[in-house]
Amino acid sequence: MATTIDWFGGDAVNEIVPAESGNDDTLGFFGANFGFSIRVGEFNNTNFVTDDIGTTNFGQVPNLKWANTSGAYVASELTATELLEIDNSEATLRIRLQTDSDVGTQNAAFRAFDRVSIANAPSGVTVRGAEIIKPDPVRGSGDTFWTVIAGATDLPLQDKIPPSSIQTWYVGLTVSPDSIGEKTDLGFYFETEFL
Amino acid sequence: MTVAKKVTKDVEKDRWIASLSNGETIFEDQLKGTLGAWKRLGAYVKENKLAITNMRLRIGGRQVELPSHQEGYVIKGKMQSTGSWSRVCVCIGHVQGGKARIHEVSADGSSHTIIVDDPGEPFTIYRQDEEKSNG
Repeated sequence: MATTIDWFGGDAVNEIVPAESGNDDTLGFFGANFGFSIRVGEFNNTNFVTDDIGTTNFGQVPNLKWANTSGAYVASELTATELLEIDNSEATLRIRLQTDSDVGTQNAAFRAFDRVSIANAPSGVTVRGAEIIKPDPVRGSGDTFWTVIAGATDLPLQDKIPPSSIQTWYVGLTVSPDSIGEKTDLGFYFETEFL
Repeated sequence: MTVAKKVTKDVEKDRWIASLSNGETIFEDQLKGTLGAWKRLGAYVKENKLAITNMRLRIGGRQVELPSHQEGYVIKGKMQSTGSWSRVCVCIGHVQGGKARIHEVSADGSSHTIIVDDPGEPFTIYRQDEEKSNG
């Protein structure tokens, strides 16, 4: 079965291209703009596709910034939006599985890890994730609350029952450094079963 | 329901192969725009009240053979990805007593075995022949 997966920003403008990315993922979280740091205890204001050490800008992806347990600041908005009201295109990531045959999926999950083992928590940073499911103006059906994700403590994603040759997941992410200094021991991992 | 009873142009080198209780051998094929081969086999087994008697997988030049005459057999795909790296596994296994023993096998030769709850239909194809109905 020819099966492929690709990762984009939620708006599908910029892709995380394997050739750019070294050993692990290339999603970088920054302060006011590319290269700007995030203060300890605060959250990301921007998100970019970047290299392993965050020095090259490969394009911006949508930003979600933690506002409270069930809400986020979308892009540069100053008023928080409920997670259930965030559009797919406003999510941090779009992960797309393509198969020859129409497939349904189960047991999909998303992890943040230290780039050594998917069982290990990322180092020096707290990551929160939420599944975003809001393809149209109707109120969404994804996660109501942020989940702290760290290694084996993952973010379960909903099963996709109707078979399709393209299945897509949208994930919102927000991070906060636990200490001063650049944090590169952070990668992301996705898995799903399909038939 | 259409299933591949011989190796055709739609049957790839890496494939599962199922022997049925009526003596037929079914090969995994890749037909676009229709249900996957495992789902079609599940429907075929039900329609004809059959059982899978033997199940094997050819992948990356290796063959994985499962024990014969089980309550059910499982196939599913598994995609793992970090964005920059990805791997597709074929998960093949058998079911006994509500538990599935599944081998996750990838084309690069790596594999490991897990025991999990029976994932149920459509991942599991249960025997539909007389042996089942007679208990």
